[in-house]
Amino acid sequence: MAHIIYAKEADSDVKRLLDAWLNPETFVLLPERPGVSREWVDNAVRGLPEDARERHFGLLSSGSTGQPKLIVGSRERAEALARVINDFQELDAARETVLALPLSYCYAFVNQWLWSVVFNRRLVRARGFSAPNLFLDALVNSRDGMLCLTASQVPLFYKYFKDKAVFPGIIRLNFAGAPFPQKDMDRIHGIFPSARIFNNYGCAEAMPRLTARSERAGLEGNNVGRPLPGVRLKRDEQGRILFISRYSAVGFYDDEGYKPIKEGEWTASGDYGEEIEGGYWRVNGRADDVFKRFGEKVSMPQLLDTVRSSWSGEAVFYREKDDNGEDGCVLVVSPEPSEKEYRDILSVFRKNHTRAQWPIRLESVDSFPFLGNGKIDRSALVKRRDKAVHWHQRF
Amino acid sequence: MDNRERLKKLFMDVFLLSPEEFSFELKREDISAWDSFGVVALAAALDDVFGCRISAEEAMDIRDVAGAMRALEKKGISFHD
Repeated sequence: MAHIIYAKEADSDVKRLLDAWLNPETFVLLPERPGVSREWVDNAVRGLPEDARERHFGLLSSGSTGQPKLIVGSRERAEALARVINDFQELDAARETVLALPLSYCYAFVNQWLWSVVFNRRLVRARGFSAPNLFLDALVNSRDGMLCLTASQVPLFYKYFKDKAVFPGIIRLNFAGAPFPQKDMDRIHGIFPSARIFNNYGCAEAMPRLTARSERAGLEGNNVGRPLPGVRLKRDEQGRILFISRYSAVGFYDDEGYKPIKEGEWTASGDYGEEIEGGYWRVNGRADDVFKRFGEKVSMPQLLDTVRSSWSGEAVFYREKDDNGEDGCVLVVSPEPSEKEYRDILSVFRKNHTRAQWPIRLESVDSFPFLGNGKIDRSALVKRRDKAVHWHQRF
Repeated sequence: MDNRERLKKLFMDVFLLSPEEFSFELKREDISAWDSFGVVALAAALDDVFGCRISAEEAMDIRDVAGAMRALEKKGISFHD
């Protein structure tokens, strides 16, 4: 039977997680608020196959869909991936890594915690913007540090640190978990003047990396780089990205039970995308962000681009069925737009998209709820009752 | 809000027009979104906002904003507030 560690315990007792890693028994690392019951986790652990009960580990993936999955990884494979990332990013130059994301997030777990274990580097436990002063100290005092962020954290550097936001001690900076902030690169170089910056792409089932690329002017933000050594990608007929990786998870448990990820079996990353020039890959959006409405393809990432052409605040879509039972999406912006601003947003829909692609409603909130990994928590947003409705389709 | 203002807002909502783009002289051919779906959406909106049931045939006959006003006036909605 695997044992369970809560991230809070691992945070307060540095040795706890290392002991678990070195002990053959499989363990599960859970976030402070896992969003599933202990019974669900116990069932997941009981459902592990015999060959995953030792030398494996489990991480909970909440994702943006809100459907919980316990992803089961092999320690041997994860350590191999940490070495591949180290080589690709020439991380031998880094002496420490500053943790600004939850440890239970597989991006931070493999790219930072496990890397620090495999290469015997210092792990600096800053808690990101949930403890801004601690984070600031860690960044100011870092020498030859590596940092992993998500794009949504970039504006917070100015909000919290203002003119102190220059950290030359960080020499490697990784982004993952959301579109790469290519448009903010000048600003990011200003904050981290010594850092080489990388875009990383993957998913929890890949545990977690599939591709990476170094930041370079002129590349699109959705260019995620080439597959890492040991990773193969292809696009299926629907345009979804499939992968085979020698580092991938061995299986996952969800509400339907345990499902193995067999060796040599193509697995969906959960995104649409395509190979582009030079063996690079472009991600076009989440697979569940593209759907059909009245027979027409609706791509929420494309609609978001449309919104951004007229709205400088934040924006996100969530899926909803309309009164006729037809799939649709709702646009939520923040902060609250003026009437002119929301009319301008609507106007660009008319100019760029057919009526089937227009949102069902336009809503606003004062601020978005975020997941621990920095992504907007769409499940929580759907349930929020304080959303202001500015416009709705009459059909 | 008088009925002219309500109709203006209705057209802006149904066809995603900005206040600058709207005028009471607008015709169907001026608005790309006034296609067959737009006709149905306009009929639904007239029902929602003015409580007037407009049949599909009546909605198809509405060729401009003035035509919408005439259709509504036939149902007892006055635009001479």
